[in-house]
Parts: sequence; structure tokens; C-alpha cells
Amino acid sequence: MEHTVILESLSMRYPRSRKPALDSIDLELNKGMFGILGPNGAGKTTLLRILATLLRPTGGRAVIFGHDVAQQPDLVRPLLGYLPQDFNTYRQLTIEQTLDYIALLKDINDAQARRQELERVLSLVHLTKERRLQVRHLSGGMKQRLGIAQALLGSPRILIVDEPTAGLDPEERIRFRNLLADLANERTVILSTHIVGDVEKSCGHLAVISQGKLLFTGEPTALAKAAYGMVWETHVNDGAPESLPAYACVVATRPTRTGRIGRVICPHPPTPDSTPAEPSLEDGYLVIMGACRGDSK
Amino acid sequence: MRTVASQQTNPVQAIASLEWRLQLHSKGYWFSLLVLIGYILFGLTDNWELAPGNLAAQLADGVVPIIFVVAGFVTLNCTGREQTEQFSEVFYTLPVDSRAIYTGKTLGAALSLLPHFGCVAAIFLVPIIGQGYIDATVASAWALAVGQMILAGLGGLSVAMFLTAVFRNVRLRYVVLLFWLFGMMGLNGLARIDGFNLVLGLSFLTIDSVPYGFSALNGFFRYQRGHSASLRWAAAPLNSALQQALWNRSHGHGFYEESPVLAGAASYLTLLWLDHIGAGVSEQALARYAQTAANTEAPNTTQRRIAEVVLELHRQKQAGGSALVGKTLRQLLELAAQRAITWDDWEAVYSGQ
Repeated sequence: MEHTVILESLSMRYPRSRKPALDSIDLELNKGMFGILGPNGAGKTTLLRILATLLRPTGGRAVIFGHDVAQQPDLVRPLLGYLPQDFNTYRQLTIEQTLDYIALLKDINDAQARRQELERVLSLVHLTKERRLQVRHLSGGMKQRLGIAQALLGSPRILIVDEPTAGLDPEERIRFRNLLADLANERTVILSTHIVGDVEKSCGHLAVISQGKLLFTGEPTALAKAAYGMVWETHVNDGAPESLPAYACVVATRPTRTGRIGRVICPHPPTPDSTPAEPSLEDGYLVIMGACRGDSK
Repeated sequence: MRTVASQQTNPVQAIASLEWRLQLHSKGYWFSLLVLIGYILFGLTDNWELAPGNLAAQLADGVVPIIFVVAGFVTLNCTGREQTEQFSEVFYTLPVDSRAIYTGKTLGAALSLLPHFGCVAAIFLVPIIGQGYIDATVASAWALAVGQMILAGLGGLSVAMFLTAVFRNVRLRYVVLLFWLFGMMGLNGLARIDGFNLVLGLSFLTIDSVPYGFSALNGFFRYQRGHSASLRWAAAPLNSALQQALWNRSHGHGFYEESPVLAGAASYLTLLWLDHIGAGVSEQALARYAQTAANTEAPNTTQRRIAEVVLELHRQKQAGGSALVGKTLRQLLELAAQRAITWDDWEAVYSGQ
């Protein structure tokens, strides 16, 4: 299968910065939803901004449908839809005026075709009724949906969304996630997030990035397997830190009749009464990130 | 429900239309219109006893700097729109080239100035209607004012575009424009109090009737299209305009134009500056001076003398006499500042070196 996006030793170092924002990333992406997971400051946004032609990498290259992003941005841009982390637009315009304007800038010049395209994306993001609202009066969720609507204008082959669910309430978050999953049936959707749940529920493939380095790439189940044999359930009391090894990591606790049961990541049973538990994506993520080597406590 | 799609058919139209519409939401824009109307009303009542032509001409003169500043303001509004609205992240990923973007924005800025031009039209209609007659000077004052207004608008627009090319940061551009304007006003005010309004507007715009606003604007567009040397290219006429603003006043009655000495010194300083910014511009200028010096038949024309002075200063500098040249220029400027210098003085100082 031909890869839609290829990253070859992609590196980025900002001027006057000691550490590289991206350090020799190699990735190959296909159609479907691809999650980029990592903590804040990991380099996710930098990576997406390079793909969106906003930044030029300082090393390596990124290729989208055979076009080098840095060398041929004019050929790449028509293929892209981009929703940045903090999407904002002209506050005084209504939703439909905004979309009409962006559609024109995306070279949908025929008024009839543009009208149809606006109807299509408005309906996709459920904003048809709110079309005459000014952007300044939109809630966070509606603004995000407008953001995805503008990205979808012209049916781009690649959709890049940066932390799209941040700040959304749970209901909006689920709706938004499902929408992205639907869109991924026909195109490549690159979703960056630090919320493991977003990736777990919707992405077929993912990459974990930390401090500019690629730590993992593969399917979510493979990431979960990284914690295989390292997840335990055990009683943890108020004095839990003392009763557990320093490198054990309590990722969750829940109250029971007999006391609090803790979910612990540890290379071996942390206590004699520990029982093994099925690893989740979040456990795998924490193991990959090295968050459970005692330094997180 | 049907979506109302606009009837625009290309990105340039879309951008121009959007910029024009959003300008109307700017408080600064309406304030500028208020200032203009206030100035016109005040000027009309204060000078009502003048004949229509003179009254109109006087008012139009004062409107020039206002148009210049407003043009700069609306243009910076347009070019900084995406940053101020935090839309630039998406905007610059759209498949529209910078040529279309900046053509649309320039057009939007120009459209935004239409109400101001409407006010200028009122300057001519009010005295004619109010005083009930037209004198012979109305037509010429009208023609002159329209030309001045258009050039002032283009000047403000081109300076703002130039700043856009140089400074991407919106706030920095405003600060630089503000410093530039106040600097110009201060210098011109000091140089010739009664004429500084005119100088402020015109000095940015023309030298020897060449509208440099066009050159700067053209330079900006070339820069946007990837001609990296064009900023230097645009800097040359802007520099000349700046220089004229320092030493000249409008309508050809200026100190600078009266004094061939100063004209020669100014020309030479321009040449040095062109030499500094490079790209062969100074060689072209030198060739032009040489051609003027060789081809002008009348030996005593100011133009020819200036060309000879520039060439001679340049020769001195090439022969290693930079300090000497600098000293000569300083002496000349000091004498010129006292307005006590004549062409003969110049020759005396010059030949004394």
C-alpha cells in the first residue's frame, strides 16, 4: 500500500533552543485515523505544523502524497485540512460567512458548488441551524466544530487536527471523536492529543512522542502490551507509598469494602497479595513514557 | 434552508471584500473619519470668507497627511488581520498564494478609503453650494487635490506594505510607523513650521514628480513573490523620499530645491546609502549622474551642477578621501542650515578642499 504521509529523519530545532523540538522522527502513515500521543511540550504541535506547511523542518523531510512539504508547499496545501490547537477566526463574521470565505480561498470559485459544499460541511458538523450566529457568540464546542468544518471544505485527503477535544465537555468530546472516526473512513486523519482515551477509542494506529523523540509506533493493542506483566492490583492504604517499592506507580485507586484497591505498574508483584491485571492503553503509555520508574512519585 | 454563498468568484475579491467589511468594525477607522470630518468642518467655518477655490485648496492641503496616516492604518489593519484575529495558523495553510493575498488586502485597504475620499469631495461641493458661485481656481484646486489625495493614500499604503514586508510582527509595525510619522512631523515642523502638513504628505510620495509610493508598493509585491533583492530595491526610493522629507517642502518652493548645494549633498548621501544597500543600484545611479553631467548642454543648470558635484564627491571617496568627503558635506550642511550658502560659496568650500 502506498503511504500517504512519510516522515524521514524529520528534525526541528528552534533558534536559540538547546533541545531539538523533533529529533529524527521516522513514520509512515496510511488512510485511517492516526493518533499522536505525548505529554505537553513533546513536539506534537511542531510535527503537525510542519505537516501543515507552517514550519520548515531543520532536518530530514516530510512527504505527503509524494510531495515534499518543505519544497512543494503549494502542492501540499490543496490536499490538507488543518485544525490548530487554538482555533479562532474572524469574530464579526457568521459561521456561513466564515466558511464561504475559506471556501473561496480554497479555490471553490463557483457559487453553486460553494453553496453545496457549505451545506455538506455544516450538516456534517451539525451547525446548520447555527449558521447565522456570529463567531464571537459561539461556545467552545461550536467553535471547534466550525474549525473542523473549515478543515473539511474541499474534501481534503489529509486532515490534521491538533488537540481538538481540549476544553470540550464529555458529550461534545465523544461526538467530536466519532465525527473524526467517520471522516477517517475516506482519508488520513492525524490526531494529536495528550488524552489517551481519545486515541484508544478512535485510532487504528498511533505514535508516542516525548521530548521530540519517537518512543513507539504501532497499534493501540501493541502499546497496551508494552505493560503486559507489569500491571497489578493490590491493597493500598493511606500509607501506600511506604508499603510499595519506590519504582512502583499507582495509576488509579478505587474504594472497596476491605479498603482501597490500587492499580499499580511495577516490573514484579509490588506486594505479596498483588494480583495481575489486564493492561490498558494508558498503562502501556505510562510504561513507554518511563513514568513508572520511581520518578513520578 | 439554503446557505447564502457570496457571488464572489476568486480569492482576491473575497479577501478585498472581507477586509473592507471588517474595517467597518474598527473603532480606529471610524475615529479617523470623525477626525477628517471635524477638520473639514473646522476649516470651512474658519476660512469661510475665502473664495471657493482658495478655501477648497487650503482644506485639501491639510487633508493630505490625514489621508496618508489613515491609509497606513487601514493597510496595517488588513495585513495584520490574521494575527490579530488568531486565524493565521489556518490562513497560511490555505492554498492561496501570497500574490492574491496581498493584492486582495491592498484592494480592501483602498476600498476602505472611499468614505474619506467622499469627505474630500465635500470640501469642494460645500463652498460652491454654500457660497453660490464658482471661481476660476476651483477646477485646478480640485485636480491638484485629487492627485494629492490619491498619492497620499498610495503613500500611506505603500509605507505600511513596506513595513509589513520588513516586520511581520503586528505591534512592532505599528510602533515603527508611529515613530516614523512623529519623527517626520517633528523634523519637518522644525524645518518649516508653516509647511509641515504638506511636506508630511507629499515628501513620502514624489521626487521630481515620480510617485515613489508606486515603486515601494511594487517592491513589496516583488518581495512577496520571492524576489529577495526587491526590498533593497524598494528601499532606495523610500530612502530618497525620506531624505526629501528632511530637507524639502512641497510645491517646489523648498529650501532643498532652492539650494543646489544642498541638492548635491543630498544626492551624494543618497548615493552612499544606495551603495550601502547594494545590488548594483548605486552603479545605476552613478551612471545616471554621469549621463546628466555629460548631456546637459547649459553649463550652469542646477541639474548639471548637482550631477557634477555628486560625481566629484564620489571620485574623492574612491580615491580614499572618505573623511574628506564627510567633512565637506558637514560643512556644506552647516552652511545650508544657516541658509547663508550660495552656489559660489559651495564652489569656494569645495575647491578649498
